[in-house]
Amino acid sequence: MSSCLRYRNPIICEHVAGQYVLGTMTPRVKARAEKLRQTVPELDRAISFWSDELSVIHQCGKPEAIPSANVWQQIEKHIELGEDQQKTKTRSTQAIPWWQNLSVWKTTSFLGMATSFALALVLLTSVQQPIKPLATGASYVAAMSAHNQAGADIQFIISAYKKQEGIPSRLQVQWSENHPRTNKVALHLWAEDKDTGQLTYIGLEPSSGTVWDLTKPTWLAVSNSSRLLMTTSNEQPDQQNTLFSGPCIQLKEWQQKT
Amino acid sequence: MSDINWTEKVNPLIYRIQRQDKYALNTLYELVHCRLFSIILRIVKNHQESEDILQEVFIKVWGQANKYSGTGSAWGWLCVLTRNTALDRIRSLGTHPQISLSDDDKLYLGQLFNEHSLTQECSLTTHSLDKCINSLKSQARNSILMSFIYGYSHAELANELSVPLGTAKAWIRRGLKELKQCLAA
Repeated sequence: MSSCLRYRNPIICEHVAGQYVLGTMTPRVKARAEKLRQTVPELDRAISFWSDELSVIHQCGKPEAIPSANVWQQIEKHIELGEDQQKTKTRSTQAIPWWQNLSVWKTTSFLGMATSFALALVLLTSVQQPIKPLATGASYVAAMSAHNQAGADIQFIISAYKKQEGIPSRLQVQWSENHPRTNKVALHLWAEDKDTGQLTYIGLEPSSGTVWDLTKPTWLAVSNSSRLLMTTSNEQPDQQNTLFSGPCIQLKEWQQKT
Repeated sequence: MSDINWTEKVNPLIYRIQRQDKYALNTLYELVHCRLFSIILRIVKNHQESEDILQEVFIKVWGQANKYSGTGSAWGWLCVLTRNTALDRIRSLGTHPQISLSDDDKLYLGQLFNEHSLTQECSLTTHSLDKCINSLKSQARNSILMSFIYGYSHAELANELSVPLGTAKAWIRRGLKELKQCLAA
């Protein structure tokens, strides 16, 4: 029995969930359980059951202690500092000398003009031609299941559609009816090159909808890949952050005569 | 805080925090910080350290609210996040200050063991947790509550209760099984 199927066993699932919520697991085992609950809905439900039932203990009675008032100030400061750092990153180009700024502005103006021109062209062509639905046939498909769990059920499919007139190359994510998505964590997609094994970052899944526009380099990375991986962060995939993976295969042309 | 409806306010606040609503984080802090602080303090036994952990918990809530999937209550999720953060801290320090339960701790556990204690505190006349906990054998009940409330590991439990490690593990395993059966009944 594969490890993933093992955790679907109600007895094992209950045991893991109970120990997780009680806090008797070692940090390593706890990290594994946290990762598993994102791919095994039964475990997620069992953990939620114990969390809810036992948390009643913590909601009863009067709190016994009060933290000092500066805790909230520290939290607020930390959050604002994080936001400031993000803003600083985006403003970093403004910190360079004025003469460099000038060249940046020149380039930006030129690019802005070029982009506006290109946008106008795109709009013009899209007005003339009705927006086409997603391509009729996928060029590549990856069947995604829990990472490194032999025999794990396929949880969703990623289909890659080749660029067509007026429609960019696209990816579409479709979850299994039998394994509806349990986590809401935005996932990051990577493509593993079939020749070199090199990993290319494709991007963060869109917050709304499941269709994903690809640029030329990311399309090439997907079309040359042997495997796709989904991670919880944009850092290089490893055992800790990789949730799903699946082989990426090329399909024949839609309705192509054999 | 005898009104338990406050826990229902946690879910919408977490959803707002997922959209980076700072005001919601502040409201959540006002609503639950004393309770979360008590959870931490019971495990860590150090006021200053507990304040640091409480800060860490709220920073995690701000950054990881998306990890709350909506399965189960947000309050339950928050309790697990808080306990795990406290347990990670004491385990990273390499020492658990919990050598043995103090008289205050025993009093608190004693209150929990008393029949209907939870229902009286929470006005939860229909909630079966207290009934089920009190129906467990004393060893299983002690082991579960000492792990859940004071963060005892299996080895620490075995040491505190002067029993072999396997016995402590079996008490917890059996206790959880019986508790589940009772709660499902």
